[in-house]
Amino acid sequence: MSRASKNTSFGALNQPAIAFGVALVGLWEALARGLSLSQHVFPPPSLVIWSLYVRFDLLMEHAWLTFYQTVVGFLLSVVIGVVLGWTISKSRLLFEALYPVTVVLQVMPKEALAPLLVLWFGAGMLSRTILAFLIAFFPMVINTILGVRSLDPSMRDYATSLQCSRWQFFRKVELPWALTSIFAAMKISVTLSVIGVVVAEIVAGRSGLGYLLLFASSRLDMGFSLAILLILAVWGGALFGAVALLERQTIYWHR
Amino acid sequence: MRPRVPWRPCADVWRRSGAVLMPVAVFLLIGAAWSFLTNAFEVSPLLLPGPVAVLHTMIEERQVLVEAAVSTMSEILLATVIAIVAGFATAVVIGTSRLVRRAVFPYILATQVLPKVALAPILIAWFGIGMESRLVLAFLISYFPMVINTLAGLLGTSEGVLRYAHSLAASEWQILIKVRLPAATPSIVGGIKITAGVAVIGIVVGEFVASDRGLGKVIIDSSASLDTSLTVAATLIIGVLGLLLLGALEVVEKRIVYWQPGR
Repeated sequence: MSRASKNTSFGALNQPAIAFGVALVGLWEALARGLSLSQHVFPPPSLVIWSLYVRFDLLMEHAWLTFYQTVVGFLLSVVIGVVLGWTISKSRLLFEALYPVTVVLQVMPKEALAPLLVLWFGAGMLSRTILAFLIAFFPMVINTILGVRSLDPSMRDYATSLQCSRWQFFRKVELPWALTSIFAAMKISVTLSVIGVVVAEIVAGRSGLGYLLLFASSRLDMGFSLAILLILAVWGGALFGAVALLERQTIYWHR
Repeated sequence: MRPRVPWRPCADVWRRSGAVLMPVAVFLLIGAAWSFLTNAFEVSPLLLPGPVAVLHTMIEERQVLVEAAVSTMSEILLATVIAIVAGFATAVVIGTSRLVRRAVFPYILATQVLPKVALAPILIAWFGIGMESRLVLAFLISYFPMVINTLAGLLGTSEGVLRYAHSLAASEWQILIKVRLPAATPSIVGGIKITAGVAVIGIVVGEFVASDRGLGKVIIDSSASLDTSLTVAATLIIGVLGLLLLGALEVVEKRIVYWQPGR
């Protein structure tokens, strides 16, 4: 069984999946309308879509801010993470000193830093972007280090025997090799950066989708809250899809 | 492949101790730099107190901190256990039927890109400010990785081994218990580690938003009253708790999947 056929049967939407999704939404709609619960507490999907439509301007105003911060935090984590990871992996001393430290820091829940960051950098964009960066950063560093170091030493010998220059070795051997694990980390980090921004916005926000969500649900406007959640889900999916697409374009030989 | 080196115990001990000492030295260096910088630049203790002040607060406020830590940790463990059991059961059920798998699995995968911490305000509206909201949040965050990892393990059994089991006339049940589950163990244990790690995040974020107790509440309250050394102390304790939990699981993993080299 090839990997491609496995992917299509699990990852992609197929007939049973579409049927299940439609049934789920239908059941939700029927339950929400049938039960005598308040629409504010348990809104039917149609109300969620309706809130999305009615409040679209307000939503977009806050959404752009959230989108912008996630992208900036993510890109910073990729650039700094890859450069730092590459540097660490090239030096035995740095690797022995810093690799265990990054693994330890990776395990710690960075989300807990949100209130401290707000205290230090204010409740604005800076603290949120920094949290997004911090959460997304460690997988990038660790995967870059592991990617560079996992290169088979015989490849290095082979390149030397072909009299590769240092630049050629980097460009033709090391970088393509490490890119597979760098892209794997990017797919993790891009989702994490959304989480970072949303946590910071929820903990101490005056703007952004996280803040809007807190505001809407404190007023028990669940239709609007779920609409915001839907936007966040679509945004997370779009970012992930973009990175996956870039991955397929760049390291087309992989898989 | 590591090249064979002659046995030199002293050199080996030196290398091994280096692997432990270096990171410790780095952490001590960070602490020293923190202490030095806050002193040298006379950083206001409202902004960032030095490590000594933080330690002092930890001792002074130990009762509050220990009580909060116990509450946080027990909620983390509870959420983790529920997510592990439910996630494992779901994966076994989904794993048995190809139709169910095709229908449900795309959605389980899709939950991975949803920032589930955003559910916190919604869950509070539904379940109120209290442990229920936090447990549900932590459960929702940690359940799906468990399902995905367990399922990947169960379905990842090599075709050859399965064919061999069939040739021995093993029943589906026997194949599940004796072939698929053991083969899936590394992936399942990996899933448990992810589950525990994200459960910490779920509970802490839950405590930030639904603050009625726990370290998250200590952090929110102390940062609101600019008692920064307590904020830093509680944040550090959360970090250490997360580390201890994952470290303990790492040790368990080495015991359970001892046959996996390099794990």
